[in-house]
Amino acid sequence: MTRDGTYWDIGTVPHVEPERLSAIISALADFALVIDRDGKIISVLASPAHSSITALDQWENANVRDFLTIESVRKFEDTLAGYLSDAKAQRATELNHFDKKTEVEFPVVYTMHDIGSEETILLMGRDLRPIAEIQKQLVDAQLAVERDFELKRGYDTRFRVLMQSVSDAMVFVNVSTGMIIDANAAAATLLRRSVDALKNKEFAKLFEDQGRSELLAEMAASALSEGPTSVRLVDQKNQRAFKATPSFFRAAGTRTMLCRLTPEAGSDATSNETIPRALNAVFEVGPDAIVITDAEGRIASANEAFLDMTDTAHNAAVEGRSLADYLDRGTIDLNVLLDGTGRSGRTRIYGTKLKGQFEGLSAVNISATPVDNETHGGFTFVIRSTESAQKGDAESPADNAQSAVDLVGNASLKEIVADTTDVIEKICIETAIELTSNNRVAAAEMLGLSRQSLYVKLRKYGLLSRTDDD
Amino acid sequence: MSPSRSQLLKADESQHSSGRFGDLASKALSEVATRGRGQDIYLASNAPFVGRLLNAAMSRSGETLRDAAQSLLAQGIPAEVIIDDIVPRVARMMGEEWVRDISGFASVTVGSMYLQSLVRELSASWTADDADLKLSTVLLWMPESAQHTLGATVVSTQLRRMGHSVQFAPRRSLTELTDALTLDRYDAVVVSASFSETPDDVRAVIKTVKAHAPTLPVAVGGTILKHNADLAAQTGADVATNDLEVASQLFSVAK
Repeated sequence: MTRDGTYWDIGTVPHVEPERLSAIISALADFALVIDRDGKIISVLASPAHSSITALDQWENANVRDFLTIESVRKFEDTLAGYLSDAKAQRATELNHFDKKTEVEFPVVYTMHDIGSEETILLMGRDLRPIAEIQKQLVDAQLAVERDFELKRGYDTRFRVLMQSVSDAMVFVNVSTGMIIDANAAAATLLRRSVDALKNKEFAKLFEDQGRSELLAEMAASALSEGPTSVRLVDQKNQRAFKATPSFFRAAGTRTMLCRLTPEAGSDATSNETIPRALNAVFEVGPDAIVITDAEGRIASANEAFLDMTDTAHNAAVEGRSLADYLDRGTIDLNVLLDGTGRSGRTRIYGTKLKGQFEGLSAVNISATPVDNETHGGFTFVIRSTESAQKGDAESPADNAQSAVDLVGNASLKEIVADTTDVIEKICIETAIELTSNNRVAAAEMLGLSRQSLYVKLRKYGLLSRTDDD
Repeated sequence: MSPSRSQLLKADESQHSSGRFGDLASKALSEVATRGRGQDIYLASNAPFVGRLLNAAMSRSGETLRDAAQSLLAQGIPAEVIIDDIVPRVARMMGEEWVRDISGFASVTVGSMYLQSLVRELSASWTADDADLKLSTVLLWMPESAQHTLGATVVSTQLRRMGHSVQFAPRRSLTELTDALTLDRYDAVVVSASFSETPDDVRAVIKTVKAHAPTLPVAVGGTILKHNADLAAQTGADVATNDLEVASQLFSVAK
């Protein structure tokens, strides 16, 4: 039967005796209220199973609003107003009852019905407590999940800190796919690749002459054999040899290998006699400037190429001077190079400018290597001019002009300038962080910022957690 | 529209004259130009994005909330905007749907659970838990009677993004609060309460905190502020605010 009675013809609707009506209503509804147009309760009817929820006898002659929560009063008023203006358009409404005396709250979904009198309205209600109970259980289950995630956060952090602080190179490999799942900073240094570059890379491909299946099989055999055994691996990029000690385990259904890598003793030394001769030639006649300094960056020796680049006539003019004298940012550049190289064992590419005797500046990339000297350490710097390379690298002006054409008209000048300023700021900060190998004190100095301001900007650009993870 | 020859020449000239700053600006311009336009479109009108997440969360569009969110991310809308702006809007609209009897409380509950999972997934990588012990450690607490945890979850991600290390304890007892305060040292406590909690619920939490550590700063916030203008005085909090910048000044003063 639809509510407006279109299904039953008027003539076929059985006549119901008023005294039977209440029995029918209480069978159909858990609660039934007859109210007047102001919401005053004229009579209450509850099915036997629901009469004990609250002291219903107190409801009679009270206003229904007195037994509703604040937000339900608003809903009730809206629904009542809707009903009074168009009885057919109104829909079921969920209301939360609240008994101030017993502090019992219970949800009921009501429909409003015309019972033939202008002054009274019948509210038929269904008790929603069973659904509310399920809702409560769902929320509790959700909270339990949230708490587990909070715990997991703690474990994650501990795992990350542990991975970063151990000096052994550690690599996790998914045995089925052969891909690196995770690696720590020590592994990144040893393999001379960043952690990000290592992740999701095929482990076997890092090493010479190794197919994935053979390598993993060999390592599995090594792990199964008794006593501490290891597999010898050779980096396919630079032929350095490592000792790999694997252990296998299952993590959440994934067969995983934890591999500890240690450099093979003497793997960097070569007995080949041609190397010193070749190196000598690179120093004497090579195109790159080479400078050997003491631990403080004072020049002990420099080659012809360096003298050329700095317009210096004779070696004696540079010896004993600080390399900082020749660098565009002076001691800032030098400190970054020395600190960075001292900490990470080498500096690969550091971009700056070289100052000539006559103050001419030329763009250079500098790489630095510590010189292993038992008594007093020092560094070797290889300085390569980037003047010619840079022209080739620059984006074509056409591309850049197109960018401006794309932007102008789509955004106001103010927006373009603000966005571009942000990008420039981010590029410069990233550059400083990269140049200083994430030495924030040096990066802040380089940018002319306080350490605090640098922090704020790193946060702003989302650079903090990433650099911390690396 | 392609640039004319004279435009190209001008760009070329300006590049030469402005040197390396010009290069930098050009690079930045091209980055701004190629950046996803989604964010700008969002700023112009967020309704389609909010509507899409709402329908996905309420399981009305045949699209999962995760897929809908991924699509927004792909259009260039950052996770921060989704969490700080879209999710709260969607949550308010769900509440409004209940008030207008468009949706029942059961669907709204399920929808807000989806939202909460989304917030957690999007913020999984945001952490301020690192070796830098100079940043604040915050205990984020909710009254035990709390019905709504989405708001507090959003706040936890925002505090983490601000650089605070956060312990988030959704709906635990006052005994557990005492335990937490005994076991760990915090720089501040943030109490999150929604419109369905009372100042009394919050006062009980703050009383427990102050009994244990009288000088530990406590901030209270959440939709409870709407109906309780003088919440700080009512609950004994040091500050009642929905502005996390204001709240976090309290922590830095305390440090």
